[in-house]
Amino acid sequence: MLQAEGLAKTFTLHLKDGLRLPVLSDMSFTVTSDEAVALTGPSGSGKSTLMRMLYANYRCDAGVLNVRHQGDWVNLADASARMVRTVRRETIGYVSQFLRVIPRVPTLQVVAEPLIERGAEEGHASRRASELLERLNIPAKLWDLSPVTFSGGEQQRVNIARGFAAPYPILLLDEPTASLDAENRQVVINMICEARDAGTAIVGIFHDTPARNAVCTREIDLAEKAAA
Amino acid sequence: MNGSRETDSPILLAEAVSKAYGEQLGCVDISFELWPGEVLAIVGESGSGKTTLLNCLSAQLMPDRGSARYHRRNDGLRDIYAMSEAERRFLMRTDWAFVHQNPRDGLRMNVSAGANVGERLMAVGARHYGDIRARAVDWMEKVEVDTSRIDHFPRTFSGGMQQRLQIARNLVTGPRLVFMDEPTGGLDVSVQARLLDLIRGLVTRLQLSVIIVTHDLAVARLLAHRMMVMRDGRVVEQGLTDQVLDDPQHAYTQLLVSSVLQA
Ligand SMILES: Nc1ncnc2c1ncn2[C@@H]1O[C@H](COP(=O)(O)OP(=O)(O)OP(=O)(O)O)[C@@H](O)[C@H]1O
Ligand SMILES: [Mg+2]
Repeated sequence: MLQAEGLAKTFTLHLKDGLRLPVLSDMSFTVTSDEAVALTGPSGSGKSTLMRMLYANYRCDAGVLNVRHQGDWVNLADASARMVRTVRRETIGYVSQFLRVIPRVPTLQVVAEPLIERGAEEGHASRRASELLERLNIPAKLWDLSPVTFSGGEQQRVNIARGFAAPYPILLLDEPTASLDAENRQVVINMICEARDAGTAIVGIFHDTPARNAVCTREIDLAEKAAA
Repeated sequence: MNGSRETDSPILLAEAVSKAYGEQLGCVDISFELWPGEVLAIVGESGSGKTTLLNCLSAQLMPDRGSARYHRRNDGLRDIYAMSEAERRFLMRTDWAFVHQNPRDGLRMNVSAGANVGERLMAVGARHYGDIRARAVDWMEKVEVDTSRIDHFPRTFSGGMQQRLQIARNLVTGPRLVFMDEPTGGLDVSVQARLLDLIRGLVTRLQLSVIIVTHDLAVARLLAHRMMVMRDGRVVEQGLTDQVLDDPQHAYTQLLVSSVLQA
């Protein structure tokens, strides 16, 4: 589903006299469907950076990042903005570490949005959104409110619900179980395993070792790959 | 369903658009594509040429060089600068809309709110008074302006209401391409949030193509799929909005991003 070949990333901080921060170099790996791959390595080793590159949120300085999109391979490292948007809508889901809240948009709509963007009918989209929110134990009385005032754990569960609303062939998860209590952590782990078993290719960052062991079939250790 | 949303042609294709005011640079060599349903933000500090570019793209100002080809409903891509004045005026009344920063420039302050909306309809041939009024009421509801004020003059409205009315007046004729120049500038933060929310909803529901000028990166983050960063009349960086804001490459973009609390 995903083939990375020679990916590299160096941040150039122009406001600090052009200071260069090499983070990743020569990263090559593949991820097939029904695999769940954990990115591991110490803090600062570039796990989130790589994950953002896989979502084209960060640019790749070098390399090829082929993604299986509607039967074709698309190289996200040099795809047009328009192509990236299509790939994000149809093929790659991303659950970021923190929910980016848009003021005034109710929770149910935040979760249903990815389906609406794909052209799903509104009733169907909100039914699916309610199912997910229910499963993730977000009380129904909160669904009409914007998540702005929610607790960290509640926001993270809304974020997960949103990430799982549409059936993406590839799912990127940046610490999805952080800031969750034991019960909700188990719900999320179950959801990830179900997606994996249904053929979704998963790439995740899990600081929580039991969660990682429950979900992941393989690890990619960034410490070994750290840039020189 | 996606098929109906994606055509194989951009709605606007700008190539090397340049405009100078004597010695003074307006905008230099601007090229980009805008696709149907896409929102493009033009950001940069004041004086960077954003409004000059927007005025060129909407044919309110003739550039010195370059072309801007617009995809008309029936005859494909046509250079707007090569069209007759009458053709351009027709586009502005039908396919295009322009939302000004100052509602005074986009509304007639001394005709009623209802007439402000109805006027655009009459300009495209609507004649039946009842229909026109019904559609004005419908649009006032869509933009959350109290319909009991349909016969009041916009000058008696608050800034936020005036701006929402300006949007109603612009969208009532079903345009495909909307130009916006700092539509939330000069409004209180809470009023701004409500207006942004409204614009965001309308753009998605109506699948509008939008070019929006703003100096506010948070506005770009919220509304735009893509953005273009301008400095001294030139585009220094462009791309997906989240990519440009989260991983800015150019020194000037890094400065802009680091100057705001959180965009
Ligand atoms: N947008 C950015 N601009 C500049 N530097 C960045 C940017 N994003 C990340 N970095 C730098 O890249 C390095 C790797 O960071 P990253 O967040 O990928 O680490 P991580 O492995 O996810 O760490 P953690 O386990 O703490 O989450 C850090 O030095 C970080 O400061
Ligand atoms: Mg991280």
